[in-house]
Amino acid sequence: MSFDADNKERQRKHPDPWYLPEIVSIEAVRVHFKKPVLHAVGPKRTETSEAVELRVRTVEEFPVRALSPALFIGDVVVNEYSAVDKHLYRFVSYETQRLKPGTRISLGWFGSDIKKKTKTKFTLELLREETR
Amino acid sequence: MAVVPREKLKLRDNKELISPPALVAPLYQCAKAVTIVGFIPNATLDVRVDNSITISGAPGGSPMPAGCTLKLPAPLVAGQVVQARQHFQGGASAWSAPVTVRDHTLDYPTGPPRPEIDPAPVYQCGSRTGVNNLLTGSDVWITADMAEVGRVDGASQHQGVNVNPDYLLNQRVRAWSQLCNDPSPPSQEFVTQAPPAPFPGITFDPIFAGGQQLALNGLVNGARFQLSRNGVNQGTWRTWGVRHLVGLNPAFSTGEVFSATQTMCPNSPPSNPGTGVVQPCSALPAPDVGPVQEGDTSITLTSFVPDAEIRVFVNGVKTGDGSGPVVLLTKALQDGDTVDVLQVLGTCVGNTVQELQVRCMDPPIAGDPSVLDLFPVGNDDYDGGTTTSLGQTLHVKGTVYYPAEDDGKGQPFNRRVAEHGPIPIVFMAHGNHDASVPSHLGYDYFQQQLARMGIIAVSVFSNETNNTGLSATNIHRRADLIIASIQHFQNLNAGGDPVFGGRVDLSRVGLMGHSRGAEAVLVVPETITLQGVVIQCVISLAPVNAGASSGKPHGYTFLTILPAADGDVIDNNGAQFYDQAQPFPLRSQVYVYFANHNFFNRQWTNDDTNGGLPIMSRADHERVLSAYGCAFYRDRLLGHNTRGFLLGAILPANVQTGNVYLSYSLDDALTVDNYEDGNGINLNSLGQPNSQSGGLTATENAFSQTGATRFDDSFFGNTIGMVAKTKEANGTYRWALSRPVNLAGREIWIRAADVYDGTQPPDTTGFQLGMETTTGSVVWVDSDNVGGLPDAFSRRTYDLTQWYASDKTKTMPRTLRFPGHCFQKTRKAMFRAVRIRMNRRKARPLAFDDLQIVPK
Repeated sequence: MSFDADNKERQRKHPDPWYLPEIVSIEAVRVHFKKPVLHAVGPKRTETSEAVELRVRTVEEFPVRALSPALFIGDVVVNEYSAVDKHLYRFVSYETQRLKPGTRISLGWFGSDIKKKTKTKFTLELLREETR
Repeated sequence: MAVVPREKLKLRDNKELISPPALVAPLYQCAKAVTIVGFIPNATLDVRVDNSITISGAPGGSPMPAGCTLKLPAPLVAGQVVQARQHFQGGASAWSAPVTVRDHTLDYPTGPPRPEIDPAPVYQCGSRTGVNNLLTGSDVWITADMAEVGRVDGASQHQGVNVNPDYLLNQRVRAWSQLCNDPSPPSQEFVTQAPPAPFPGITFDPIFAGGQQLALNGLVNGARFQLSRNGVNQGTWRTWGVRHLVGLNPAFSTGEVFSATQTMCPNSPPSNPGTGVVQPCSALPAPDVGPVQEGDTSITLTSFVPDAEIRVFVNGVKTGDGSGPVVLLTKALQDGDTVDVLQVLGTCVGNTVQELQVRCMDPPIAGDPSVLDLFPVGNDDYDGGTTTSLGQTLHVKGTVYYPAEDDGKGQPFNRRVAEHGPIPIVFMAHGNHDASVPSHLGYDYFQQQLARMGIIAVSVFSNETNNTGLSATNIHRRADLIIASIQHFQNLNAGGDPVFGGRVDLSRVGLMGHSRGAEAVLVVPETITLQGVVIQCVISLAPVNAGASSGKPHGYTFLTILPAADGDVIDNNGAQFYDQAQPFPLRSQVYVYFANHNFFNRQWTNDDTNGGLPIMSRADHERVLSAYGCAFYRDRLLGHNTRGFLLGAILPANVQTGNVYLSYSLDDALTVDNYEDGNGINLNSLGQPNSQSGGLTATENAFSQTGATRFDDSFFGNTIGMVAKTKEANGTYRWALSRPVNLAGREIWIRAADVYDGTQPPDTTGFQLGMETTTGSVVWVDSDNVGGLPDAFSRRTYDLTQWYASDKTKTMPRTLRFPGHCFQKTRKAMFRAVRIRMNRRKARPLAFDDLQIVPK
């Protein structure tokens, strides 16, 4: 009888938990909400009628773990996101007044006092405004 | 601790001094037997009940493995006082400490605890079964397919029961017990399996001349083994397997050869023979001894020859003579005493002695708080529909474990538990992980442990909040899911649910969260509005800190567990929460070396350090959560006496406690200085002056990553403390007290750490803490005498190879407790100040915080 061998499933995730995939594109829009949306700011919950949404397409998935990647736009940290599709993430910032068009966007980690960031080739450019 | 030649010591033997043996306590009414331990092998034993000797001169045999269980002429009655003593070689011990017989229903109102078949599993052709978790003196019996096949009336705690006839294949085996006609729940059911193949051989522990007891290992549960001595058959024994002790006569001589084989079914061949050869007396080693501290009246052995007589000498004078694992002493140990322990086998006296110094503080191992096993455990999935949280619709579901009539899914709630009223409930929440993994199933071991001790344990499915950014919004959604699950069980409780209706005490709610879930459980108490729900206590395991809570745990008891080798939450953010937590009435931090982020959850299979840091086994991670978590919930939700585990007074068994460093504080302590007053380094929290002398300089510093006054970047908490440096030997810092105190019944607690400076020192450092009397003299106790300061858990090399490339090795203070009796050498002495003295050569900077005087 012969033996089968060596057919371990390929690991789907990038093995480095700190891996930050290259960003392919960033599409930023200012969104006006007809009905204010709830979100948390620190320990408080608040309603907001306006946000900047950044659709970020990457070459690979973000690692899924306790800490998470975040966009750093000037001194604004955009750490709220959800996965929309494969390699596509929707980042949301409610600090619309502090986001300045033309500001270089960096990618880094949120949840630790890590100083290091990776500069992307993108700057914040608001393509349009949407009302939802 | 050191092994020293006996001949170099001047040990003064006293053949008339024999330690009293110990009665296995507690003793309960209706018990038909008592178990005595700690006596000298082959001593004779007396038992007296209410000062009337009821058993006289009973042969004790070997005290190992389970002591000597003696049948009583009449069952015990509540209120009776029972004692035992031993006679050996013409000498007699004093009577043992009296044990008052109790009514078991006071301790076990829902009936005797559940028997455990131990070891398990059981096999076809098995002839004997071990049953554990019994009340001493109770009756125990075994059934196979519900027919009784073995029984012992008047059992020991771990009782072997012979089975007749031997088990058949695929029989359903259970153990049962009762005391005073009060039945326990049945044990877990095991179905007999085919015996293992190939059949393993037997091995022997080292055998020494003079001994009379063999320890055989590698035995199969239920097997029969045949033993030969120098080729002469000694007989056949039944065994419950794993390890078995056999007593023989006469005593062994050097060079004798023992061999043994084991068999199960009649038509199966025996195992290959295992052999053991008797070593000469000169090979008999010194025993190993557990920690001893001032005030101890016994010593505990961690390794010894089972049938050895153990002699204990304190400062050269014989103070105890008995057997392992515990030898009672005739006087209490004092700080600095030298203790010598040797073992004797018949005429063979060990050539070497285990010698150790008594410490001011060296807590004993005091059992495993996670093993309380009272009830069968039912489980189920629950579905509470959906809830909307911050605009997102989420499913409310998860798993629940609870005390049940029997094990398994959907079992009825335990009837006797229900008769005693509603019971507490704990909700658990996992963190962010691959959403295809059922993370909520990963704490099933902890849920089962809580359920079997009488706590409903729920694990909340939170995967719909996964694969998202770490944000306050995400943490609040997780908190909402927990609250929705609490509401679901509140509804079941109020709505007459057949399992949980009227059974849930929502005024006794505990929470446990892991990772992002560990921050969510801090948000829950700050946002929940459900009437009648009281969050009593929260465990925050390896939490993130997204700023979603106030950051100041308050209004409940707080415990955080921080893995020092966390490859994910690399800042150990839970230290920030501990520092800001209000003791209610206590707070505790468990900082665990060689622990990673993931291995507390059985579904999180990857090592988050990718093998980059040395870590403990997954089982050791689980034991940390089980032991400290169960101690925590038992204290806060069940009122059990398990707080000592959280305050470092006792150590949990089965945990690698050498890797665990605790911080803790109580709300009723006198805080001498916590540096939070903003009154500068020269005044303490009592408003009294602090002073520096002898070359010591101290500064108030932020023990955080971001504070403007931080000493360096090695602090990861969120508090203000003091860093002291000294240029000269014996630099001293002094805190004046507002009025003199007597330390009888009090302790001095202080958080302290060796400040990490980017290098790993060759050895540990320390300091002395002194108490200054009203006459100006100072009594000093060294930090090494109360547990010491560890080196920081080094992760520099690992961190520098990661993407973030910065050293996350931490200066993490631990609480040291200095018992007052180590200073209070005279009853009337009063103390007016606390001092520290940096007395180490090349003293490194030390961090201090939270100096308290605490009632014991």
